[in-house]
Amino acid sequence: MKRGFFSWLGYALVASFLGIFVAVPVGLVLAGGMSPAYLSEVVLHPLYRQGLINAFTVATIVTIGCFALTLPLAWLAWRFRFRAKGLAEALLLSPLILPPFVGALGIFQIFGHYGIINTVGTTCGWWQQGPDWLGDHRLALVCVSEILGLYPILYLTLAASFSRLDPALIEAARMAGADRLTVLRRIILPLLKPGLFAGGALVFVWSFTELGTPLMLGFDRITAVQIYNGLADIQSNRLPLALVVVMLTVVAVLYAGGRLFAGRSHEALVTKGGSGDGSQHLRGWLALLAWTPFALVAMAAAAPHLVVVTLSVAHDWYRSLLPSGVTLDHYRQALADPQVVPSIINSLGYSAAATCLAVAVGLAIAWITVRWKPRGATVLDALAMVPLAVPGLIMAFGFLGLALVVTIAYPQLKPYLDPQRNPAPLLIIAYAVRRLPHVVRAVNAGLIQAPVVLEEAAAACGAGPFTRLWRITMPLIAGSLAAGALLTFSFSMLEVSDSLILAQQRDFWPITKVIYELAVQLGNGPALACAFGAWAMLFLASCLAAAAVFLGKGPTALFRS
Amino acid sequence: MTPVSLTNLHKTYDGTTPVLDGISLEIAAGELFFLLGGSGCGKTTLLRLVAGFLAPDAGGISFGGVDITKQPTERRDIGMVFQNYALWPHLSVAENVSFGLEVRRVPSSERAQRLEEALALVELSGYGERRIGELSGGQQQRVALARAIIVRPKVLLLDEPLSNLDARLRATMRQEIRRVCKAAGVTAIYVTHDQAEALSTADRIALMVAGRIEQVGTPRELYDRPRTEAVARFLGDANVLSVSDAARLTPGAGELSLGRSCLRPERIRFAAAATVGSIAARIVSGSYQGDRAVWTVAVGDLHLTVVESAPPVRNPGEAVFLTIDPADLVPLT
Repeated sequence: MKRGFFSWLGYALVASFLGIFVAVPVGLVLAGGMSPAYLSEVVLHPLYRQGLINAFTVATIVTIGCFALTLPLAWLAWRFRFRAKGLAEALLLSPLILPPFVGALGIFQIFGHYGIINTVGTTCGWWQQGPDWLGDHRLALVCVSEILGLYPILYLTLAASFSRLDPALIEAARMAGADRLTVLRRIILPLLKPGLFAGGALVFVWSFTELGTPLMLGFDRITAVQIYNGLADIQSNRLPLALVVVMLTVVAVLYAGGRLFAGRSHEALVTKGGSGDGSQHLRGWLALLAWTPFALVAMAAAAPHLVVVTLSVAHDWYRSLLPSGVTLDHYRQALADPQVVPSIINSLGYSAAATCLAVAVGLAIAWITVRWKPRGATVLDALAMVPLAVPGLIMAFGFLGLALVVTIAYPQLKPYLDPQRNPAPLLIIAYAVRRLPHVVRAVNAGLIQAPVVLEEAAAACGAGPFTRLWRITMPLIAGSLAAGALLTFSFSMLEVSDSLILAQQRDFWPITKVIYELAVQLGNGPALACAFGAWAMLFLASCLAAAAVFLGKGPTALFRS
Repeated sequence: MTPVSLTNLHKTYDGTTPVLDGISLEIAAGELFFLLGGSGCGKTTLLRLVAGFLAPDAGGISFGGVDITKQPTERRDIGMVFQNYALWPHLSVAENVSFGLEVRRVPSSERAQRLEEALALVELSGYGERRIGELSGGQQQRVALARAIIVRPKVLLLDEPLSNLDARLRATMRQEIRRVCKAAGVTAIYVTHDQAEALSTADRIALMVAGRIEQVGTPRELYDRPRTEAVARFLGDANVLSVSDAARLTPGAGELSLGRSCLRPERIRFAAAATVGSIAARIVSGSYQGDRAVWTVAVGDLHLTVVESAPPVRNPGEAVFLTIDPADLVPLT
């Protein structure tokens, strides 16, 4: 259909938004850190070099660990059907609603000097005084914690790749005389390659740039935490920006390399009239055997979070396997803490505003790219997806740079854009931009499923563009919109990188910043952080369940692309 | 009632390959006009240009002498029935049908009255509160028709509206659509690839091939006097003959046209025995279809298709005699 003035105006507004709040921040980070002196300092200074090496080490171990956990499980789920397989997969994906940032609080209790592991070891007589896990093995704990937090991302990618494998292709290879190993090597793995690379790259980049987990575990010899710690004097020392540039370069090289090696994805892997899904039905003890690894991995992943919940109601938990008693004092004290309630109000406000912004911009982008497709629509779509690929830490630095540039040029905007005075507008925009890809994807799917002919029919009946959008399109994609909005809202409530970096003013602290500040407080701070963290997890789970209801899908389907 | 005029319409999607190549048509007020053609001939593109979903690269469209080429769809005062009906699943039958009146801000009392009339016209009185998902395919088709005509459009557009129905329902609905269009007195443009639908329902047909109008005429004109081989072959079966073949089949017919000609299979008759003017032939194969049979017969090296009503048993290789009236040979350009 022909587009009028308002369509072009909307296009211009959306393009400007993406230009200012996606392209410019990334560009500013690059420009700010592109100093040969600082870049050479990053590479030559033993501390920063060690940080980069550790980041690489963690990312490599986490990626390998995630593959080791998920590849067999994805294969099991693809190859076999068994009772309550859906439940097993849902349990496996439970870390998606358990932020690793909060789980790190539980890691302290499990691996602390007088924590659960050492207590068990002492009780069983393995050692008199257990190892100093947090002192000597902090890097390993960061890896374990991240593996247990990130493997669901890889599992979803692998499961999607496996589900697109046509059993007929494998049957054809078997009938041609290929043995199982040849089928795996020549048919299955090449077809899975794009999914393996995509999932692997995502996990690698995520763990390479992860800030929350190493920060909470007190592992500061890693680039992300070094960047965070350098934030205080960013105006006089641009070294963190140089670190961000190095990080962004590594991320870009990884994605480019992944694309090069993975090749094009095989869009139509399933042929028509295939011979069913080819999976084998397991019963009895064989089904139980298939269930076991799912349950074990899910239990391991949930363990730190279960400990957080237990800590939040524990009277005293020291040198014992279980707490000495149960109390709700931590919840009461958390609510009485002068930082907690304001932070909830702040987060609710930021998240609600970010959700409205993300939905408005996401709807416009999806409509332009799916329905209209003018020149430049693909660029718009790609820009909207940038926050998926660019780590939160880098985007947050980009927003800092943007605020700096704008407030220098227009000092009258300082009260609204200077994060040291009022980070609220920046936080709202940052949250909205971070979750924009989810909204765009959800609305895209809704628009694709709602045939354009329904809008054409309304036009043929005499309805103008706004009536068509309001009366026909919006009701048809209401489920997708609501799901996108809920995802944006719930993840914004627990956003880590933006919150830690942009919320520099105590009065404006959101939930995650307060959890972090409580966790590092002496006395009962960690217990209060656990109570607050447990509440946050419950909140996130409720939001995701609501989003699943809106979409009419299982909770795990929300995260599938 | 509104006449429609299409003038020299051109359209390409990639800037080079023409999808519509200079289409000009005059459609009379109140006419039920069919655009007929095979896949990819441009008939749906032409309908979407008339609807305003696409803009022509060149040329003009006017309704009742008023140029509407640059008007958006919603201002063209059209009604449209889509191939898959495009009924809104979140609205009831009544809400679907009266949507056009609602957006035109027709007072609610008049809206209710016109809704009743429209539902009665398509024989769906009492179905107003039903959800779309509760209706059969035929009922959905009627709702789509009611929604298109309730706004009393200047022009009604129908895009293969019967293609999703079974054969029996299709035959019934053809006449229903004709009845409703004539009762509403609307000018209608109907797109289809089904020649039987066009021949049985249209006032006039434009047959399209590769983005051009091949021939325009009444169903009988197009079938009996096809001007080109494409028209002859698209509408029913046709034996397309060279000059020498035609001369061989009609000995003593005198001078024939200089070009190719079309001979409809049902115009060829079997003779009981050799008579003056009959030609000897041999049965090659046959397809028995109950009330008729379709035979392939060989006259020397020339193979012809012959349709015979109330057919007797004939076997491959059997010798037969054919008679052909030279007047049945239609010259093609």
